[in-house]
Amino acid sequence: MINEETIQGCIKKDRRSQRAFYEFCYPILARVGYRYAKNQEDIQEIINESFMRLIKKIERLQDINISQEAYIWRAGVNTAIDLFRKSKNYKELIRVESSMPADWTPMEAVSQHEIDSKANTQEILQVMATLPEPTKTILNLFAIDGYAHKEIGKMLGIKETLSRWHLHKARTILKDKLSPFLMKTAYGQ
Amino acid sequence: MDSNKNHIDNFLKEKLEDWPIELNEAHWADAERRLDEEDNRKKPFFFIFLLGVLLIGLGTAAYKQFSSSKKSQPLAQTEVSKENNFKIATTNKNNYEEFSEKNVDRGIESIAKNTTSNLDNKSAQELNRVPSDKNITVGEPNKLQRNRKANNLVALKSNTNSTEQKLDGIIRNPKSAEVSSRKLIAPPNKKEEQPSKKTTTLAATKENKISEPRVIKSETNPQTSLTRSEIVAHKKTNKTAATSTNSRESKSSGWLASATGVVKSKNSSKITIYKSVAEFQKMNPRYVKGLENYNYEVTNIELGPKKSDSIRKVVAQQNKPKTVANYQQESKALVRQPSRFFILAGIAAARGYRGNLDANPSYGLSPSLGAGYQYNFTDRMSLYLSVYMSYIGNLNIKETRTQYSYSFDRDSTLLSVTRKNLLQLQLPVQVAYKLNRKHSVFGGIGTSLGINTISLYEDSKNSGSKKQFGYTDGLRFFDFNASLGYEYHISPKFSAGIFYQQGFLDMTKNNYFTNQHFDRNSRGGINLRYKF
Repeated sequence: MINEETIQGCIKKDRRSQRAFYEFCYPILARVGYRYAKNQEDIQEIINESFMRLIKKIERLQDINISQEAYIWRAGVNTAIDLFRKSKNYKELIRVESSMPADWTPMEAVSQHEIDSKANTQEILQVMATLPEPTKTILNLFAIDGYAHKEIGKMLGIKETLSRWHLHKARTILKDKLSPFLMKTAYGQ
Repeated sequence: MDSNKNHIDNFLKEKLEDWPIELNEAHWADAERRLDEEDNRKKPFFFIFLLGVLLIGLGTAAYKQFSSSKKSQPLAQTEVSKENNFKIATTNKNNYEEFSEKNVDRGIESIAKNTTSNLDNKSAQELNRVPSDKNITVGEPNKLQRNRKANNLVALKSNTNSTEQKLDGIIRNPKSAEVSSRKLIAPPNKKEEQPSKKTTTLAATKENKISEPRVIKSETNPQTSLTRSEIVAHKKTNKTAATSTNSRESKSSGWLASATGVVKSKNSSKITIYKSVAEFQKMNPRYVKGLENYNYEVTNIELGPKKSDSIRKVVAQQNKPKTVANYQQESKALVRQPSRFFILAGIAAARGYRGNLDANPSYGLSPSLGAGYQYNFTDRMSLYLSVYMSYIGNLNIKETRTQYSYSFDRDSTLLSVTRKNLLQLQLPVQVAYKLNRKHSVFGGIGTSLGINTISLYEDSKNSGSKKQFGYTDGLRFFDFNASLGYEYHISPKFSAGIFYQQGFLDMTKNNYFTNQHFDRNSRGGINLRYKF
């Protein structure tokens, strides 16, 4: 937790305090960045842009009702979404709507997406990097960051149905690509 | 086996929510760079300064406008005599005094021809009743004609040979003197009692003829609070009858009137004339030549109604020495106008943006309407503070998307939004320089604040289209600009001008439109300004 002294130091633009705050924020923001970004530049952009937003209004950390970690994590997610909206992939997200199967319904069985995998974090991130950008974003928002489809629809300016379809697509791809890790673990040794 | 199965969402959350990450120093280096940039970034002092100037200017303008409207009363127009066509007009509203030498000459000539018989007896008697003092008093406007006639005695030729005249303690014996004008002469002892500040009216002496009426305008004693005096004198050129302090008699039969003492009317305001010999010589050497031994002093003049003392204020505002020529020149040239509000309307050709259609920008009509305040520093230099609305057309931005709806079957609708106009609030601060009465140039800087967009919204389900506000993504809503223009003053209140305005910032966000175009605002057009 960031103490009062560090916050005051950041307000006074003391570099050591800023470094301390950066070290506190970095793991939280980096986890967000690695999930949302598609390359190292974007990861750095998400981390540092979030950090700059936070440090400009660091005095708010004294008044928030939620934990500082949750506040920083939310700032990272918002930054990632903002960058995504600015990217050309955001338009792709809208265009891909037409490729959604006409017969697809959002009703899915829970067992359809059950997985038994031994993949570690790095492997999962590598697989996720292969997902289309809009699909990966919606998967992150829903599965990991806990946003509902309605909230995702508002954040990205899309319909709930489209959000559901992207999530379905992401789950299907991940299940297919993470299965070899199970096979490798079961029979590879 | 099934016990190892987990929902993929839980699996991802478990693996990605918390895993160890070490700080990348390269990331910190980039963060440090951003922090340094943030520290060095200049705050928008310019914008704050501009807004401050605008607010202060408008506040001052409003204060002056309302306070002056309460205080200002129209100054009396001190028209002396319509028949004599002698006119000294002062107008408090414009702080401007006009003085016509020709009119004065004509007036005096007319008086001289008619001699003092033109004076009504009432005026003469009234003047005669007044005890001598250092002042000459001019009445209020409604008494002005009569009192001005009395004042004109100072420049009036006596064409009779009957009496003595006294000029500042000197007894003269002009060959002719009108009775009424003789009555104006104060007793010598009263003159001598107050030699330092003599009240006098001077005129050249002349024998039996009047010619070349002249007007002499002189400056006041700088030690006094007044700034200007006026002396109306009449001079004979072919013969000069000198007046001597030694002789105490004047053989001159030329015109001269010396009103020694105070001339008070019932509604009085006083004229005190101060004038040194040297100064008077300078003003009219030909005349003073004959009076070089004569020790008179004209001190100052106070004009105007006594109650409001408004003419005095007008006179006091004139700091620079002025002659009749100055007045004539001024009357033909510039007239300093008071600071005032104005309304502004115009139409311009505004350059559009490239937007996302990658089409070359074209120019569209951009009307504008607003108001402002003109603050005059000097006769020529003014400050325009304006606020007006305008818009930029030809945005070249069209976005389409397909919207699906699900009921019994999936249905699609093609939506199209074409952004047409960007509404802007313009806040220019301009300095205008008046080349002459009709022509001005102006230039300045300003800001443009975007308000909203007007877009054309269409969908494939409906044949028509409708205008909608609010599609503002990708546009910058703030801009700095500079402007330059020329203005022709059709009348003191109404003017027409041409201008060009150039913005400095890129108004379209390239990362939104995924291009590298630089879309600056630029407008050029005409405007009309009406000043209240």
